[in-house]
Amino acid sequence: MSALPRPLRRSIHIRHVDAGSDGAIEHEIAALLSPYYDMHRLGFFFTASPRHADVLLVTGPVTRPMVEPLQVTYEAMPDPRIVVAAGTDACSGGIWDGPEVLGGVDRVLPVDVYIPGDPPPPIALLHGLLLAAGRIEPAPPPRLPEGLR
Amino acid sequence: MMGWFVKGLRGRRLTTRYPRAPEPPPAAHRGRALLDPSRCNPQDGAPCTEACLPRALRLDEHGALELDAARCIACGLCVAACPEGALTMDADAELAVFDRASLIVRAKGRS
Repeated sequence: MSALPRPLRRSIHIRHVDAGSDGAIEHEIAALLSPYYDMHRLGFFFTASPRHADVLLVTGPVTRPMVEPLQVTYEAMPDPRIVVAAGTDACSGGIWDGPEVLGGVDRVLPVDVYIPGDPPPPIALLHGLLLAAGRIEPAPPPRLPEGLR
Repeated sequence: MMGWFVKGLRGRRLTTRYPRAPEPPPAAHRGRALLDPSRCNPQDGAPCTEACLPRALRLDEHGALELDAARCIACGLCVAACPEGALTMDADAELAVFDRASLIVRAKGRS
């Protein structure tokens, strides 16, 4: 329920784990490395090893075979560690229901940042990662459009 | 190749300046459904709850409509289903939050 402490905010290594995602959000994550979004300029990097990771980026509704790999990955990460649930599936399970999926990352791991959206666009992912890094404030609650008042 | 180099020098910077400058959401982007609690009147079984595939919209035990943005897949079917026009789609992309509870919006129940 918190961001990374101040000395660790400028260079952040991310371990991405696909826990049964449909692949849509993987395309959005890949776009973060494109010249347009270029997340390296903000100090975000993907790493292959959870030992080097500050942020665990989980996508997908958490299928049953992915529960143990998720827990092993989380335990391998050094403190302080942040878990980001990216996408509607990771936040709550979304349209997936039944005995094969757990319905959300927070059934397995303590989630710090939720990024809703199906899939969230790259800007939404950047916003969530910056929030996890403690470099921006959470967005205020939405104001309804004028026509609805 | 030289032509591309000159073109690159002449062109403007391609990379977005987010988060220092605001970034418009992608064209035709549907970020989330917004619920206006003052217009919501969930009688006759609330047609929006039947249109909602992931059950992000549901009636709680007091008959109040509850919108869970963490379940919403932003399909937009509830907007057409609502007879009161209490639901709209919002294009905002900056939706990340720290706690799950702040993604849930409740309309006042009928008592």
